[in-house]
Amino acid sequence: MRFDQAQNHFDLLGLPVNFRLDTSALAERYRELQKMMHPDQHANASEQEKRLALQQAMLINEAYEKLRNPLTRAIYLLELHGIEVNQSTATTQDSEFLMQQMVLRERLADIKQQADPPATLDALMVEIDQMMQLQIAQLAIQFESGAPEQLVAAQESINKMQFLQKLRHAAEAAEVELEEMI
Amino acid sequence: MALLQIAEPGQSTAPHEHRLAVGIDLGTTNSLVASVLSGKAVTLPDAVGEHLLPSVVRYTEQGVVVGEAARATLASDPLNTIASIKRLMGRAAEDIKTLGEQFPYQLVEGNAATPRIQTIQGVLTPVEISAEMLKVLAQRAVETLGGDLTGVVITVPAYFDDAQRQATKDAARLAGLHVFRLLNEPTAAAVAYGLDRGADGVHAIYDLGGGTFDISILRLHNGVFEVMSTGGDSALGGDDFDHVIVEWALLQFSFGDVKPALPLIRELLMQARAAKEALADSAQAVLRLNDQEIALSRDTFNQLIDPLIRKTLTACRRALRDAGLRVDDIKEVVMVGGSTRTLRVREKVGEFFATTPLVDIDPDRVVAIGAALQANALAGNESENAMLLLDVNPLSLGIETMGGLVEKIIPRNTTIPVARAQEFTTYKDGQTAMALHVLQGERELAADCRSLARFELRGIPPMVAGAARIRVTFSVDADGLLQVEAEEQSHGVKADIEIKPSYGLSEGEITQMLQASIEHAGEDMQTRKLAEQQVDAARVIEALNAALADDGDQLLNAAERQIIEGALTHLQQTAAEVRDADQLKVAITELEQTCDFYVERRMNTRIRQAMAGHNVNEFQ
Repeated sequence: MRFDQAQNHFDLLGLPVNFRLDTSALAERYRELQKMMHPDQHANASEQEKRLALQQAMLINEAYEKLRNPLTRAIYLLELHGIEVNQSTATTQDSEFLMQQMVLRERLADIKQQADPPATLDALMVEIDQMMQLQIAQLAIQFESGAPEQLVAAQESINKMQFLQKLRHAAEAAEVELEEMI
Repeated sequence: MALLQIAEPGQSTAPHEHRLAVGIDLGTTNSLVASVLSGKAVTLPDAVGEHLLPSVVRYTEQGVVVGEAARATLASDPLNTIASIKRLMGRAAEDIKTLGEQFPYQLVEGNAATPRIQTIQGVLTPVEISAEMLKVLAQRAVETLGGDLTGVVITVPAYFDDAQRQATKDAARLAGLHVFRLLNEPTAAAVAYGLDRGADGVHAIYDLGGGTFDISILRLHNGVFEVMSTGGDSALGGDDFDHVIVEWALLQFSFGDVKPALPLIRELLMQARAAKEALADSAQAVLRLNDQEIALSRDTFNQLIDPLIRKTLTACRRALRDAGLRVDDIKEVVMVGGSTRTLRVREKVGEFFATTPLVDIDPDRVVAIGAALQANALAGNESENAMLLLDVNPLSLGIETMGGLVEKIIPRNTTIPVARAQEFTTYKDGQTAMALHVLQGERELAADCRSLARFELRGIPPMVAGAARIRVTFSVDADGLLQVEAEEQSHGVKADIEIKPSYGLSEGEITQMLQASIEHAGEDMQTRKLAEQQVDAARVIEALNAALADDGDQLLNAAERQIIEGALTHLQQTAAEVRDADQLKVAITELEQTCDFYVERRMNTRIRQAMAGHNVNEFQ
């Protein structure tokens, strides 16, 4: 598709290239663009306009999805800096962090043996969310600086976020399981 | 509305005549058609004043009967009277067996992609049977509104997969209808309550029908409706309320040593349904069987159905989580479906969401009414086209990988339209073809997901193993329908794709059916096609002229303008002279290709201008 390739996702949505992002402005721009390009706005148009508008609507959706999630936003920012993040082989050398992950995993595995599984799981999820918030705060500082060593650190933060996200998904799956037992 | 004309927000397009458009709720049990009349959306009645059209089609030697008259012969002519066909849309021949006695029809063996039912009028598919209902509803609208329909909006359950949506659209095509949009039923319900015109907020649409349950979380922000998540249970509904009453009643009545026979259970089921309805007004209902009588109190009834309601609330909780929200984020709850008339349902749902649910609009009609409002907007009848409904992909789309696993390409609840590309390579030297199996569902094993289609890519340039880079783009349009394109990157060769849909009809079959129906109506296919192309050509010419007048001077240099105007003149001549539809179609395509760059340039300029306005105002 030949949509303005020179533009990055931030440009497309009229936002400064930065990890710190005004999420309400992002949502607002997104909707404004979709009000112009969504296929519904072209229901009576020719096939050509429908096709082109559809492509643009897809691109706007892609940009929005990527930017609104802090993890995908961080990965995208690194890409803009010319650094590819391999998402399938995330590792970290931080042994303390890895220990913590193991402990959290064990707690998750034992959830059903607890006196009040739903409440225990809730508390665990809150903890995971807090740890994710911490990484997001780190990322904001790292991208603010933009120095090469800070970008390396950002990669590390992204890897940790991926660990946490996987854990979070596992916790959500456990929650579904608990609900189905009721 | 014209090519390239993108209305400024808040600015109305040129005044034009009112375009007739309707919303259709194509239901399992009943169907409805609605339209906006004098600014108000209403369902349209038939000649005898009935709004609901029973979704039953009967084939006789003389022709086709749809609705109440067909329903009356369900028992007397079971092989030619088809009910609940919605359950078979986009399903396989195999599926009909699991639905058992509900479908006592004569199936024709053979093609497994769609069930084929033997009737007195020949072998028919669910798509053709649904088309008959759509024709009746559309005809009702044409007679009531006094003119041809510009387009229709047809509602589908939020959980409908690609095959089911495609089948619905195919049925509309066979019925000769132009589909503006397939709209999710819960979204339509929210529109009916005018939530799209209200204050910003997040709303839940709770839809409990006879046999299905749907929950959707919608967010409204600045006039944009966004489906944040959907969920539900396709095998849970008000009919289950009747069944638990029957189970309870069987324990209360004494049968001695005799096992209750099937007719008796049927009788009891009808009593149960009556009792359920009676309990909406009174604290107690009575079930009678032979000479026995038992009382069902509202408290007992509530206890019986509470586990079922709890199941729906679990689905609500999950939908909230998918949307990243909590219960107290929900502002309004819209009740849809006949089973939300049960007081206990309203009470429990109100308790769960901590708000009084909206019940003012007839829960059986609310979906059709919302669809009519959307159809009216899409036809361009609103001075300000403020409505924007963003939908999500209801089920994850993925491809089968080694070992029968599924790799997700487009996860569930991704906002549509969406396109995602994935690169593949060859594993053998000189390999020129490749097969892809696309699936829909959340499970990890391909065998547990629903097969959508098998794609065969051909024409890959021969290379050593692993050297080819084949980029496959999966896209889902605003109706939730999938398309696949493939290109070999290093040579830029577009691969040929042969699509074998796992369910439904092939393009060739649809064309055949269309041709047959046109001939049946005594029309000439060629004349019809030419007329369609002439309308298209006129539309393209008018639009391009308008665009050139608007910004041709700013966006095109003299040479570019000359090329476009040359192509424009060529199409005008062709349209005036040619009597062959295909030839005219080629000329239209040529013009469109010639001015592709101009259309893109216009769109990009518009986007940049809109966003640049923000940069100046807010960042400096």
